[in-house]
Amino acid sequence: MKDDQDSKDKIMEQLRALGYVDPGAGSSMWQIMLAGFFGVSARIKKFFLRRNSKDQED
Amino acid sequence: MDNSKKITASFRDPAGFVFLKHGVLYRQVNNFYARDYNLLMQSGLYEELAKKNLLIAHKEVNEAGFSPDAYKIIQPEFIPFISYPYEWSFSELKDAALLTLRVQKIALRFGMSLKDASSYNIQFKDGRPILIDTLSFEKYRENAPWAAYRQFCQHFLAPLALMSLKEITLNQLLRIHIDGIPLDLASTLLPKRSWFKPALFFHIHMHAKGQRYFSDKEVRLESKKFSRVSLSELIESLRIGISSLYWEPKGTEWGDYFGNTNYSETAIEEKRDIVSKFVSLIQPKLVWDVGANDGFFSRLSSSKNIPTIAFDIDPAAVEKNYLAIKSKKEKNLLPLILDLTNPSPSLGWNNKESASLIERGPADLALALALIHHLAISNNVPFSMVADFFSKICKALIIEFIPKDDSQVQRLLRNRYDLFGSYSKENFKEAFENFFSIKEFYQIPGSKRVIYLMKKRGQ
Repeated sequence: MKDDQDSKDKIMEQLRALGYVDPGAGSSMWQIMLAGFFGVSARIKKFFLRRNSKDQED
Repeated sequence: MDNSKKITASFRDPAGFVFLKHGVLYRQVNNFYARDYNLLMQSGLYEELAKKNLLIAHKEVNEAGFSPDAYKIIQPEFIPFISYPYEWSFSELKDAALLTLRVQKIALRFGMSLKDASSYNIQFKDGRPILIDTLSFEKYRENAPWAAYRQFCQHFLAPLALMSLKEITLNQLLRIHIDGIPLDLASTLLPKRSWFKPALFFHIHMHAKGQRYFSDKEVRLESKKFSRVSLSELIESLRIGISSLYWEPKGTEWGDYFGNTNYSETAIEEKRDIVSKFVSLIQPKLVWDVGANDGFFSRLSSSKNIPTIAFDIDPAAVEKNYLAIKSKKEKNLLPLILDLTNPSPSLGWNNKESASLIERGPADLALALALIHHLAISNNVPFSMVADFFSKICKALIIEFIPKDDSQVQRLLRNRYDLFGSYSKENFKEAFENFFSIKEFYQIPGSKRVIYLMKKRGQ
């Protein structure tokens, strides 16, 4: 398994040197960077949902 | 294996593939996918999606496997005609995108996730989109990013954004880019105002920059986390982004077609009656209406429960037709964008991943009403070649001949030199009789237009 990963990494390195863009890895990393933003947005939504339901109860 | 043929379009997926046996379509589930298939069936996800007509229903059958690594053979419900995203109107592509996100949202509730989000996995059945790739699901991996995110953006978000904000015909880029429009290309083509739309800012522009930035970096995803909440928010953000994209059909050549014809109301009714009678005489199982405009005549067959494909070159006419089908919940009618003078070719690896128009035929019956003058005069296609083409796409043909002195033909000739001395009814008949035999014809009262019912020779 480790050998497979090493040779894959080597090939990727060579491809990048030739200008190859691996869009899949970039997309995954971009999603992870977005995760912080979406986490905050989920918390804000949750806060307003709670506040609205509390207002309705009152 | 006798009488079996693997459908080469599905070669990429190690989970399985589709094959034809005695004219029946089956899907082989490979051992490789057994665990995920069992989870799909046992978790209740399949039942939930099939019940809501979001995923094609299937039954497990006792057919022998196509290859030794078969785990199960399933027989999906029949789809009368396979269409491709570059043939869909704006709202057809948008509905396919929203369906994909809805399926993903439901899948997450059942502990599964879509491992791909290809627009080729969606087809139209009974007037609405449906996921046809039963093997698209995998067990949800906690804290993993959505594997199909890039594909979704390339297959759906980018073309829809370009169609909505730039130019409606840019969906044709999907013909060139078979795995969706590259995001850096979409980002370059989109207007500046698209940067102010949050979904396009995040999922196209910054996504493209992210791809570029990480392309030469070492990416180790194992240590990174993408929570289920973040994934749900990502799906919701894409849904809002897709929902906010619109396209209003206006100002096209066919916009007010029926208002511009020289038909009286009585003549249109006569034409409708005779076409309807001819359709009943043929009793087709599949009809292609080429040059269908808004599908007025296509509905003569679809209303008889005959699956009918309404092709037109005009994205606005196809869009209007689809919106009408949606609002009236019509079944059996599928409007598609098609330029008859440059019909969809076979594409992809070995030219086998998506079939050409001709390969998807022949239809039992084709309608070609008020079309011949556009092919023969606007596009200089000789009658003999038009007849040859129709002989490849249909077994029977209802075709209208429009004489040269008709106002619609004169309109086409108004601004060009008349090179069409051979454009006559006699030459038209002679050309078509090489391929078809004329069974009936009818001259529309108050006009010199003639509608022919022809059957392909040797049928």
